[in-house]
Amino acid sequence: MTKEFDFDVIVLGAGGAGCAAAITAARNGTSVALVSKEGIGMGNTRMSGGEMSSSGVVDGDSAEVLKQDMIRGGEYLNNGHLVDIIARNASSAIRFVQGLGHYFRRDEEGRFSGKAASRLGGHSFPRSFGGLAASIAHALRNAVANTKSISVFEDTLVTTLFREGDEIRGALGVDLKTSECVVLKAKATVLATGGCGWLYYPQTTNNRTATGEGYAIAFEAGVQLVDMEMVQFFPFAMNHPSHLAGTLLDEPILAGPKGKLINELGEVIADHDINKMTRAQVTALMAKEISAGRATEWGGLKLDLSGNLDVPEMLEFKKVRDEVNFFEKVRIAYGEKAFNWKEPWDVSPSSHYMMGGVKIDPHGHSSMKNLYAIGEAAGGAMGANRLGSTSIADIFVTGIAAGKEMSTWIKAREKGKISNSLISREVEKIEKLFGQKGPQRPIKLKRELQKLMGENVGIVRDGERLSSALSHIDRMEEEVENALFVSSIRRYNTEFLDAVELKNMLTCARMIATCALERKESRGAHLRLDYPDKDDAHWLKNIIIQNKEGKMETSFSEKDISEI
Amino acid sequence: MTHGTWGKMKGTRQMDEYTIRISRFNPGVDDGPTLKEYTVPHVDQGSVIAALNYVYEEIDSTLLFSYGCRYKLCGKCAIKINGQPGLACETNLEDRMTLEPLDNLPVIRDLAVDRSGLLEPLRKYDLVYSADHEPEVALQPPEFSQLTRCNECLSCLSNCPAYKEEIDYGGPFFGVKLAELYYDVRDGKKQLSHLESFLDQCIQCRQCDVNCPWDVNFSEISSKIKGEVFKHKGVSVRDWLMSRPHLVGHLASSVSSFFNSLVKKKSVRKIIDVLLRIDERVPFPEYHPSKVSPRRGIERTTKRKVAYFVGCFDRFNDPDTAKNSLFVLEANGVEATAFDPGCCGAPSIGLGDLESARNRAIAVSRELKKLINQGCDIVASCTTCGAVMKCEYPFLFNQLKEEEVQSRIFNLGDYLWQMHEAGQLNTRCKEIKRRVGYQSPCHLRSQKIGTPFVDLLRLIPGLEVVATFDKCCGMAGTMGFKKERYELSQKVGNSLIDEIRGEKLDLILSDCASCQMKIENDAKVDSVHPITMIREAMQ
Repeated sequence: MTKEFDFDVIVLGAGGAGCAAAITAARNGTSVALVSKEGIGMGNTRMSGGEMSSSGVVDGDSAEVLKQDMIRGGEYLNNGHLVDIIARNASSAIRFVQGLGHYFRRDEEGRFSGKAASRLGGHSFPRSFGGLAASIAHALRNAVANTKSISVFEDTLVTTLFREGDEIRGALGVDLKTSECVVLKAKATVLATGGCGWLYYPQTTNNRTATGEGYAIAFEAGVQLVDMEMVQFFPFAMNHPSHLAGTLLDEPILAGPKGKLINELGEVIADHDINKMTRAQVTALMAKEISAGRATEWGGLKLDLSGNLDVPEMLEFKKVRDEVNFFEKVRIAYGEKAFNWKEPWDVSPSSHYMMGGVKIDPHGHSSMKNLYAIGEAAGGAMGANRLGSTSIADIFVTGIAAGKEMSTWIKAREKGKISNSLISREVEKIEKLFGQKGPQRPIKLKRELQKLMGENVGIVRDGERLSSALSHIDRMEEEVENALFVSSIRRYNTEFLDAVELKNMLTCARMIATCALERKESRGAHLRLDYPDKDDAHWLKNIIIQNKEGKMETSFSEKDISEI
Repeated sequence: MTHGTWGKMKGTRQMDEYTIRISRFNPGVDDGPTLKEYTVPHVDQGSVIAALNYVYEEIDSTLLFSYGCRYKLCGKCAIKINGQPGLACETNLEDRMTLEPLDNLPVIRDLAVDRSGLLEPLRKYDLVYSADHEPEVALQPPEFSQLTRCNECLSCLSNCPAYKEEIDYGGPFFGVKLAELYYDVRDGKKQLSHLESFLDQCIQCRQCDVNCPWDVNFSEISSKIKGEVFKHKGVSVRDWLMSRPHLVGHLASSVSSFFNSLVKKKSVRKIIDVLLRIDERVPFPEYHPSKVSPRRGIERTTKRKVAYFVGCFDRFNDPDTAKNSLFVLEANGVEATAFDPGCCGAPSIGLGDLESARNRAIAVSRELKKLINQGCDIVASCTTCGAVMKCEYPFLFNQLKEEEVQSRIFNLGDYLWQMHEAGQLNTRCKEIKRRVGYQSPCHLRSQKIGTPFVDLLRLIPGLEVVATFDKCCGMAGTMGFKKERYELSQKVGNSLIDEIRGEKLDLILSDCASCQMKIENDAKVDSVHPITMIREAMQ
């Protein structure tokens, strides 16, 4: 049975960006549906380090300095207008999050000062405020629960956007608990679906829900995406034991001024100031060693922090982290000595963040009418590398901005119709999957794709491996079309969920590999062994990717240097 | 200890495969949950979540289980592992593990529970953070940081006997959310009236702390909040009396035969019921005049010196338990003395009268430390007294915080078991041909030391412990006597009582006096402290 609902706004995804947009739009008098594949606030916002960048609190710092840091960190690929908005509004976004009840760490006098802020790699000043990320998620969830005009659709997987002509008029969801279809009609649709780190499982810091739904359904609907080759690998993550592999450890700041990275041969790769480097710089350093075959038995490098044991600020850093048992994983995997920095332990880069995404204007509007994208689902702001703590700023700044902007026009506008034939065609696609009796279990193909991405479209790339990945993806897409096995269980059928996610992941994988093959240089997170140098003369431009009548096509947008 | 762990530790029998049992259930299709066996490979440091993933990927992808973050942040992978709630991501896999969904939450399918209803109490009570501005200076109290550690895994709800009966009250999870708002310096204090009615439903069994992966220890915080409520509300004559078992005990036992026969009269209980609101349906325990003292001139064969903590119930209502405890200790060569510093303060904590409780804690701690300095171990047979000294004194009153002091306070069963492991317990005892049950009290479980008495009882030849029960009896100290809480007490206790009746046994052993009373009155089965049985076997 299919249920139909009418709203002013539907927000797809309920992490920081989605909740902020929903709350803001609802407070401005619109009716909102907040749709989430999981529970509210259960996505990657909850799993982040909880650090949020401000527009600056110490003397000499300002929104302008933050902007320059982000653009330098992003290796000049950023969309300057989007960076500008984030940099200018980061502090007010912090106040928004505080207003929902989250408590950011303060200094010992209880003040919100520079003393309470961290200076993360690539930032010129201490300006990032920490706290428990789970508590951000709880504050969001509570605020959503208490905002009367938000209707919550939890455990609801969105499978497609309804496009009529050149505008988006809503989305089709599936209530996973009953497998009933839900038609959500809206004047504005917001993609807040986060990233696609799960493409690299197990070597990802992400929640298992980060399967790139937003990118895939936007692509299917013909929306433009940008910078899809730019996948950030977080340098310091676990790689052992198997169930902890990929999970996040900490920013480059963890290495402190005296931390060392050591390869399998015992050679010291870097021995000071790793903490001042950006994530991309540290990852590139590590990737070079790993791809040259000098990785440890677990596939990573040794991080030796013993030098920091006489650095007071690092001991303070450890104390703060230990209060929330942040490095418990290290103790489990490598024992007490490693936990106390007396022995080196193993770290590996892990897929963390998608800099690319749906191409948007400064209001969050996509290339398609009535479709917005915010947070990690949107692309362009972070360029070729994102600085630590800017994502939490980004999700709230863009969420609030989109929520505000759409409420200025939404009441006055008529709602477009979605034809019944379009609805029934899409519903039929869903129904067809249940009880399908092909030979391939979706989870197996998912694992196959993840392995392929890790090996061929991962931290280091080259033309040959990227091309071979693309033909592998071709083969897999055929299998997905015809050969899946999905049981007919209607109560939360994970084979069905896997099948839909797999399809979306394949679309994302193809976009990433295509753009990565296109960009013939190394910049930020994009490292090509066959084009190891940065090539400003030819590649100071963004790759745009779009579905044109069923074909994946790329084009370029030249950089407007004046904006940066 | 399972054979699997033993093999691993010795390195003699490396197991390549583990067999686990997983609860499978599709509501609306299946009649009920069934346990199905799966064989999974054993990998070094493998977690339960890795095993579930293996089953899903390699054996059966209709298995439903939840997980998200892979390590302790999202709380979604909480399930019951061998009967205890825990996170599948942080629990190492062992052979023969049984995996089931959390209790008290609707099962979607197999191991996954529906977490969506949790928004409801927040909506219902309009509980929202509502400070109109962020103050320039704001330092949060330690309770706030402690509460915000909660990752919402809901293990506490699975354990909460009151939530099982009164879903609407929201359980400890909701309490944590309320308390978080209450302790937030930017917005707090206005939730006190909600908290008051919330805490009226809490039976202080402390089970919410037992499996909390982030040690939020809500029961300790709720004791503090009870103290705040108490300051506003004052105290009734009944509650004042009930929180002073030592005083009441002295008075009643000095005229014990008169008192005992008086309160057996229905008319008297009726009057007490009306005047004091002590429910007439719950019989009073009998009071005894005798004082507990150890025997003298016993040969000391170990270096152990024990100061046996005589709880109020031991002292005035059940001197046999104290006598038996001292007998067993002495008979095994321990120099034992009776330590009777007065009430431990548990009833005052329960009432929220933290000032009175603090005075008790200070007095008891002072005496207790003196004894420890003289080389004594402190041993308590009452699980509540033990839990209060071990958990509440340090947290609420800053007493007995030192590890070297804490490590010298023991539960009686635990102490005897440690003696047994050291080869100091005489196990050549008399055969007792009997089938008994054992009820594990909430305040024993909250000490996380297992059920040492069950292990001890199994040393007695002929004695069969055929059933162990671990549900709350609902008495909750004095709560069951209170007229306004009688219904809740009965509701909570019913499932235990039904289980016990179903086993058709004629004796249930339990180290908690409240449990014993409840079992005798409601299940109509005799119930005594397990030390009684051990004493009997040693004659």
